Amino acid sequence: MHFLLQQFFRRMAAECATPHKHRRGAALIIVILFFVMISLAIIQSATVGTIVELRTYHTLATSKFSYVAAEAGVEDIFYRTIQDMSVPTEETIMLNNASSTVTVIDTASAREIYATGNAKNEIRKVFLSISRNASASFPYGAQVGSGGIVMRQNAKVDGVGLIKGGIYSDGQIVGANGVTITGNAISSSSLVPDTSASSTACVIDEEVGHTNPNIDYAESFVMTATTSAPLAKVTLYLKREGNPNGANIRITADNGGKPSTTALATQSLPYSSVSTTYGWVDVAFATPPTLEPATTYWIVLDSSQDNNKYWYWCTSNANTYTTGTSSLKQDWSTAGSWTALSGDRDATFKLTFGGGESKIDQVTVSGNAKADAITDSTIGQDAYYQTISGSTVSGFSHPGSPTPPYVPLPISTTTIAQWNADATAGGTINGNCGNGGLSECNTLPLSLGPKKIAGNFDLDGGNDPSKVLTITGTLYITGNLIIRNKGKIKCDFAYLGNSCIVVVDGYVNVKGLATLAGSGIDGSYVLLLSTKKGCLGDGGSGCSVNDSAIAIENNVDGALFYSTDSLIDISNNAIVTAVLGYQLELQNGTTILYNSNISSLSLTPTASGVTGAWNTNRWSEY
Amino acid sequence: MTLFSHDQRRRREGGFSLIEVLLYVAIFSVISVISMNTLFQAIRSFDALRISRDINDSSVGIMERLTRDIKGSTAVDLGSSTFDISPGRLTLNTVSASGTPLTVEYYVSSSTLRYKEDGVEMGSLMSAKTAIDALVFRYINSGSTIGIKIELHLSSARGGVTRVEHFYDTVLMRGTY
Repeated sequence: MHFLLQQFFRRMAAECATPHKHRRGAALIIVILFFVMISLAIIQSATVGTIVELRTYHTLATSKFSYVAAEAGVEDIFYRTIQDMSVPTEETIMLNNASSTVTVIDTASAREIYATGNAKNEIRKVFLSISRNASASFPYGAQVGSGGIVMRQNAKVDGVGLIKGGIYSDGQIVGANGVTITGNAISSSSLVPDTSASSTACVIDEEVGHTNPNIDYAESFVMTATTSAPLAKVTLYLKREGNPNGANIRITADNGGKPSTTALATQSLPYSSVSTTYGWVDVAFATPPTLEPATTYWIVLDSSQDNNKYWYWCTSNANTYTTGTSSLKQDWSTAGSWTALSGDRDATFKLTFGGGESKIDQVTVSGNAKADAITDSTIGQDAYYQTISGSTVSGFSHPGSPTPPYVPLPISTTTIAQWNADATAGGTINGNCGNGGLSECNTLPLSLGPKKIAGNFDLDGGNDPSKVLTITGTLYITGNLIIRNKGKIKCDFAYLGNSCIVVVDGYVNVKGLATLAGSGIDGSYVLLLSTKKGCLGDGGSGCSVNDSAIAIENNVDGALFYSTDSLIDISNNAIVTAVLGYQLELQNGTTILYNSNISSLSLTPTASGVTGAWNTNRWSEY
Repeated sequence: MTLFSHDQRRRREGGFSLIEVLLYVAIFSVISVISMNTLFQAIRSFDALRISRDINDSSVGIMERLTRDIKGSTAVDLGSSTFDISPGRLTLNTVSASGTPLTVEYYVSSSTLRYKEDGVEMGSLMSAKTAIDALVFRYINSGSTIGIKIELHLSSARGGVTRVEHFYDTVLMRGTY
């Protein structure tokens, strides 16, 4: 064998040495050469590609350096502005080998900051415009919170000319015969879990209602959101031993670090909703309590003692929710101290805020309709839903669509507090104004603002068109505002294209051919905002017509109505430009006629716009 | 003698023995198979490389574009956007470079991400070699801040090699401030 191999290779060598005579061995060489060539081509191509890619990512990274530098320039000027430090008209700052050249231009109403970032000649530019105006966008004819909107017969949401009004509701949209909506109708549910205020670690069992004094347990919490919201449900990690009866989940205020002895809301906890093994148990409140931000509340599991039938509420083994604590006591409703759980443990809980039902019922919508349930409606374009019945859809149907997103009302409590402060800065009138009010503010025509009025304002026009209240700065009325008998409110002409603000803590009633108008320039409106709580169409104290916080009984085209927590009621065939509120009711034959001028309002604290906090008008790359 | 030398010549000039041929063929086959395998392996690797480059290019293009547009936009048109399910649709109210209002709409059509400006079709935002498996937009609104979460799932296939990649980003809408 060895001999044969030797001979074979010798012969091969000979063949290769005389290729012109014998070419039989070349096949292998060609194959190998072929392979080598292809491999080289692949490697070369891959290498070139990788290098190109590397260069692309390098450029991308450099451009990000440049962007960050430009941002830094903008932030430097912004910081100098809000801190009242000197602001250069031009400056260059360096950040991480990138430079930022900033130019500041002050206009009459705004400060414009242009920053150009440069990192290895990769340029990114950032623009920031700030002013003391607060801009707010109102893209819908009606934007409603979880209270939902009810439209009685022939009520309409329309737009001026070809403009579409549209409704965005965090609750239901319920119509009736002849109800039409030009534009889109979107009904969402405002149920949002509070992902921060929760404790989900289950390590240690706590027996609740077994042995004294471990009968009532409580866990404190602070809601994360910055605006008040109804607590729709609490979710606890529970199990039971036997069939315990008579337990309740209560929400109480805080009373010096322990639960108050009166409940804000109570919901029974039937044993049938709890398993004998651990599971998350939803407890939804029939009457949800409205909780305030930055305030401590307690969830109390109130049970009765029984040796055989009791609950387990699982707790963590450490301080998993640092804002809250867990305590126990024999009876929550008696005075006296609570005992904190050892080891600073937290009981397992989750919170869901909001309310409202995502449904559209008995309306004709010209645009898209989005809701979990659509019933007895006519949809002009596409419909997005989970269930539909008795409806016709002219466009595409999208069954199985998720609930539309929750959209909070656009003005935050912080902004409202700022406006109140702006008004108060102009002085306070301690008493009523207008008809029957103090002499300093009972004679119309009158120019007023910024001013806080610690009382009511009865703007009785006496059917005399000259009796006008001209707003020269934000007004903050702690009582009610009634505009009647051709009474008129308008923004001072110096507001130009900006809008003026009236904040009312009580109710607002617009009736008897009352007029509301902006400065006379396009895009200027009166923002009439009521922070009244508890007027939800079913009782409540100190409310206006139909238990509302804002009652509009005649046509108004110069104002935007905004109710943070209560019902806005439009009646008497009135036509209104736009409304935003927790809840809305359009009585028979009333109309919201949306004007796109209102889609983005610039709200200023005073006519000349020199006071108030700095706000962003536009912050973008350019 | 003559016979012998004739025999010797014949043996030297007369081809390979059967065993030699078999051995040659065997070695030839083995080397060919190995080299072909290596070649195919190299081609597959090259395909994988190109796929990952395609996906990266598409994802960078899409994400950078979306990020920049969402950051600068003043509002989301909730009536014309689809959230939380795939394929998502995102309609942004923004302003053009010259400061005029502009509506930009991102949507998925035949597994590619396309966009429209003021209702006018502007084309695809990704390489033709990649496909969108899923694109989900999520709407975040805390009252004072609005943001969009993007979930992008891209796939690409070349010569029997398939690859799927997932990309996530969350962007705050500074234009709404």
